[in-house]
Amino acid sequence: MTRSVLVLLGTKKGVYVFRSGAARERWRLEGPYFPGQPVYHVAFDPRDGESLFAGVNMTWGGPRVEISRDLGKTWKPGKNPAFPDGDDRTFSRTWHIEAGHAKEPNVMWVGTEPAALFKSTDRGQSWESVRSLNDHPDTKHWAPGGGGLGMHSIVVDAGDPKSMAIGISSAGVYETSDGGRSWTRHNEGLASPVPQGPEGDYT
Amino acid sequence: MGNVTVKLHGAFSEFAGGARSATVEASDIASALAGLVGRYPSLAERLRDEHGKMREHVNIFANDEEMRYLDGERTALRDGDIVHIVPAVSGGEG
Repeated sequence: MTRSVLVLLGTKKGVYVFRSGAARERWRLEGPYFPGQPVYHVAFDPRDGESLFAGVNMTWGGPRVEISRDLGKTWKPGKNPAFPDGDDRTFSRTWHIEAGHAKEPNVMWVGTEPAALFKSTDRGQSWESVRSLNDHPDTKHWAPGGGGLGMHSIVVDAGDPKSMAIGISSAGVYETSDGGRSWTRHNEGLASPVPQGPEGDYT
Repeated sequence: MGNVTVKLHGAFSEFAGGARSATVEASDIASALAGLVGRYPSLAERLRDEHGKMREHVNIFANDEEMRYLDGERTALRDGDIVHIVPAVSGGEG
């Protein structure tokens, strides 16, 4: 049974947390945390029931992922997602943070700008580039949408820890069914800068 | 090498756990920053990106002069010099 409800808001001026009981009759506002700082996403980890993650995208000081282990009372930054040496991309924003599958309690995922997927196996303290997607042959076709070239969505299949999907603006949807070793594009019916067929046609 | 005071202004103090300054041994701005990050590792990713490039909107002064009008990070420092790390301020209506 639901005991309490949290609504997490990432805004251009920080993180706001609204709390209420199961009846949702009264709401208590907490925050802003990181006042004046743009936050693209705030995520809750339902596996431990106490962790929050915030993608703080500052102009000075650069982007960072802040972590709370007490539902927002205190925060500390983790180590940044980082593109490896020799890669000309630079981590510039966090767009999405997602808790991993329930069977993988230490796994977290982040989607960034430029569009890339990073995996943590230590509850968000550090991140590794998912090279199978970030170096996918399609990346040469990926083009920025109106808000930039961002990986804005990550969906973990609750029924299968090896299955997940991500969304990139503007490249489309990619899915894996082998835990991220390989990725398949699923843009049928979507406009995308990525060629769909052998002749390079566009849908 | 001399004793150099590095002063942290604005958000950079918060990134160092509230510290406002640190005294480090340094011969130039690069070694002063390295000494500062050694003291406060949480500043490393706030000052530079993953490829080691200084982030935008970070202004660094050697005493009263901004380092880009001097010799950048190779600007020589002497005993007693002060390095300021200042977040850029912009915006507003004209």
